[in-house]
Amino acid sequence: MNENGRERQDDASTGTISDESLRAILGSYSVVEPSQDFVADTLLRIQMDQHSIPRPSEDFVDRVVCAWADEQAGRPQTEVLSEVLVPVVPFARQSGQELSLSRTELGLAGQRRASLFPMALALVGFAAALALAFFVGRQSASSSVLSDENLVRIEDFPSRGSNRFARSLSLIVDRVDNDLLGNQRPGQTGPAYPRPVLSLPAPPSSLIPSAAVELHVDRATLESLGIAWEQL
Amino acid sequence: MDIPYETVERAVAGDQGACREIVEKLHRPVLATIHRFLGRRFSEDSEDIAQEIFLKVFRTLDRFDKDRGVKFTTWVFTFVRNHCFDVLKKKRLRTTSLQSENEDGEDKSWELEDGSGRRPEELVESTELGQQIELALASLGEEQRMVFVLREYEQLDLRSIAEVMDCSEGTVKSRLHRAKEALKQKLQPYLRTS
Repeated sequence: MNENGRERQDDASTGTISDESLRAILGSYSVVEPSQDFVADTLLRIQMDQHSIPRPSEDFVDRVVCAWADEQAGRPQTEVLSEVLVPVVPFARQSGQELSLSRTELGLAGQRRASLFPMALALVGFAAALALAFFVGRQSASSSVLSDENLVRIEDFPSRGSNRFARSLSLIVDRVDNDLLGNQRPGQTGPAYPRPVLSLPAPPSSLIPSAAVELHVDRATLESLGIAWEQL
Repeated sequence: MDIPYETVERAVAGDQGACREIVEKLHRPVLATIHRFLGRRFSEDSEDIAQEIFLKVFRTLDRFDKDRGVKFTTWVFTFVRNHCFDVLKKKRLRTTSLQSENEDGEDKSWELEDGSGRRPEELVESTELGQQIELALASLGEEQRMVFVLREYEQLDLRSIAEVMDCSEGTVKSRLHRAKEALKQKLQPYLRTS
């Protein structure tokens, strides 16, 4: 039996009662009024519900992935954090793969280290100015070959080595100002001292919020400047 | 009565004013549908039930797709329908469980038969038309009852009811018709005959 057929049959069974008649009495079934506080209470519950599910921070996934990678590499969390926060990397001895990894690590936690950027930038600028002064003053000098043993490396700048780095630079800069920038010692001809090399790595990538600085100074230069190796 | 989509978007973005607008506009029809569908035995819980429904709505607000051509109000009523059905399902489970644990042999099947939660003596004493309508509604099947309430009390169109009930308009018409006929029979003493 189709829908219309069933309808006709039903109408026949209750043929004397119309839909309008039914509708006329439906209003008798009234419902209770909502309580006065219902809307306010509901909104409060909605707000509580929304606040009870805090959204994860934007770098949450990155941090988890980093932590997991570190755990797999068997590195303690404290060392990992230190390494991530320390932007100075010995680029000269680093393979391309290691460099890539370091940059990735640095980039992932970039937001949290934004506060380190101004200090690092200032020190890089200072080191760059120092390098420029060396090259201008000693352009004709032959370059020296540096061995790893004779290099001062500030690898844990700035978290642990910032003071040491600044002290070393100030020691060198004092001597450079007085002795190296075109002021030869009385009676001296030609290059007064072996050429000091202050090298900077490539400009920081946009992925690296803090600059990486490596200070190269050979022992002979330091000694000729009157700076003991042990002072650094 | 429908809520503008712009309001929904603001609510998704966390605008509490938009949330309030939605609740203020919809709380009466939602509460009335709960009350009429579940009956007075749930009257003490109806506001809690309504709040649960609104919470579900707001948790999934970002999933409302206006491009589907469904009104926001209709979308909300799908939550009302699902939640009310769940409430009855849980109630049935509890009632069945209580019956199986009943050791004094008392027959409590009336609770399942009329769905009103009232004892027979209370039914005899009840003369108020509204209560008779409630009883008549409670005697309908869940699907018929919801269709009837949405159509006759909340004035939803057939297409919207079909969306809420997740069925065709033809099925809605059929359920509506059967519901009316059943109610006419139950309420015959109160209806004027032509």
